[in-house]
Amino acid sequence: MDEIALIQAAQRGDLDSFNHLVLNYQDLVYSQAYRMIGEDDSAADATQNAFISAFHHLRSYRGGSFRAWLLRIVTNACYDELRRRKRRPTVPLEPLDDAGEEVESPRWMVDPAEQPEERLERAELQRAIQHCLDNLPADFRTTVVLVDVQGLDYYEAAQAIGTPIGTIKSRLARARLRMRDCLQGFMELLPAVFRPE
Amino acid sequence: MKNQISARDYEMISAYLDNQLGAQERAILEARMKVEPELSQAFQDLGKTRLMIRSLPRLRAPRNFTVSAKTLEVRPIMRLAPMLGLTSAIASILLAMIVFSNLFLSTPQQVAMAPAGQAAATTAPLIEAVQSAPSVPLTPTVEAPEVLFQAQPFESPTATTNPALGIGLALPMTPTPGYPTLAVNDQTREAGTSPPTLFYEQPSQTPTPSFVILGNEGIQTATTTGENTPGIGQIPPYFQSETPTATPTETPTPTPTATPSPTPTSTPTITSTQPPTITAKLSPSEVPGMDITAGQGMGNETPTPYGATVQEQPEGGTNLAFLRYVLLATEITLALLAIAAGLAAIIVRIKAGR
Repeated sequence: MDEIALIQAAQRGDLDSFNHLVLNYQDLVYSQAYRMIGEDDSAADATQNAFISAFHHLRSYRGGSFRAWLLRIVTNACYDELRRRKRRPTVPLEPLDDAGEEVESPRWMVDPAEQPEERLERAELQRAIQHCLDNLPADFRTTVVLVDVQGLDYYEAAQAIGTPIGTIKSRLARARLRMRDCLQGFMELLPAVFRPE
Repeated sequence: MKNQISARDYEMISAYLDNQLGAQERAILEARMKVEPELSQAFQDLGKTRLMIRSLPRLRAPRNFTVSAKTLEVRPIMRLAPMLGLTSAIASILLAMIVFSNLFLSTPQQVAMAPAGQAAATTAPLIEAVQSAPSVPLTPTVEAPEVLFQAQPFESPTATTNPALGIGLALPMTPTPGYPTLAVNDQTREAGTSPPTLFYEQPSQTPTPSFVILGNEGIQTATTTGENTPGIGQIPPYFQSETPTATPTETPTPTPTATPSPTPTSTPTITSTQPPTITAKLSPSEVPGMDITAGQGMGNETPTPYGATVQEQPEGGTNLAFLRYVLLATEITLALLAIAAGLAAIIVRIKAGR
């Protein structure tokens, strides 16, 4: 069953068709939520809420990029979560290491083919990048994640956020500039290919 | 130098990295990067940053996020929020409609007056006569006109010799500027006696109103002709004269002297076609309290035009007041409902968001 047929069946209330769509897009949606929130439990909650909201508002989908339509819903859910966390700051339950960072066990990020040293370097790089992403303003962060992490083009990103393409260009440039300045503080962690000449 | 590169340049570099520049803009940027080392360095830095960000792996969902009928069930409390919001909006709209309609309906209603032209024609000479006289502020030295209640019964409106005193208008007999004086019995009034009183009486048999003048010398009746019949609100000719002209031995006739008398064609301003039926009763206390003072323009007072205003307040005024109370109660109820529903909707949404 192709995607359009699944969408039409789901719009008629077919729950099985909708769950097929969920399985196709849940990695994308969860990844977006995690990169925006920076926390796996909150990201999971936002992902679940996004899919529930998507089912209730399926009739508002009028065609176009279904991926962009889904990412818009999860982006709004992440904004709600960020506002909620701003009102009520949460304390991490995971233990902290000697550096004060959370000891995460992202088993889903482990590549069995990697060497331990490579795995460690990659993990540290990803932690640094995520740290810099967390320091970006929400709208800058959303834009750079959509384009650079999720691989959307400018048009799809504009649809997902609901802003003009010119705004996408401007926010993306400023977000990358800030990321450059932030990542220069982790220079020793950067692989040689990424270190400035 | 980094500070030489503008935000616009960074935007162009970023778009260039994503292959989002037009052909012309791309050519211009490439030409600039060849001659501007700072621009070229910025291009390098931004490119590496973009690569680092893109190196982040796409995460896999830790579990399946498929939905079931139970997870899709909307909590009942969440259904209240839109309903409460709609209730608040409807109440606010109704309140606004009632308030605006009340503003339009609350314009002061114009009481149906007697024809203004006739009223003006009737009272204008009176007002002019009063106003033309030099205004005399009421001071303790000036005897203000007053209504006297004499305890002398009035027996009959016929010519008798009873020294009757009735309720009427007591005017200062001494010629006082600004006050009309009686034209009769002035010369024969003795010191210490009360001033003669005058009241307006219309016998029921004759349509023509008559004047009954009561003085110390008895009751003298004067009858006016129909053409010169003064009506309510109109000064009888006797009041219009400032100097006494009639002698006590003569039958007083309404003979205007110095002051202009109302023209025969001028008719009193009475909304009713029937002549007024004001009769003197037996005792002064029973005589209806005619507002002669106000009607005769004493002092600086303005005669009250007779017409519908003399009538008692009709029942419509009571109904209007009741309607206004009902509208006020409705407005208060709608305002409270709008505020309560709006606050409840906000609280429900806040709790649902938590």
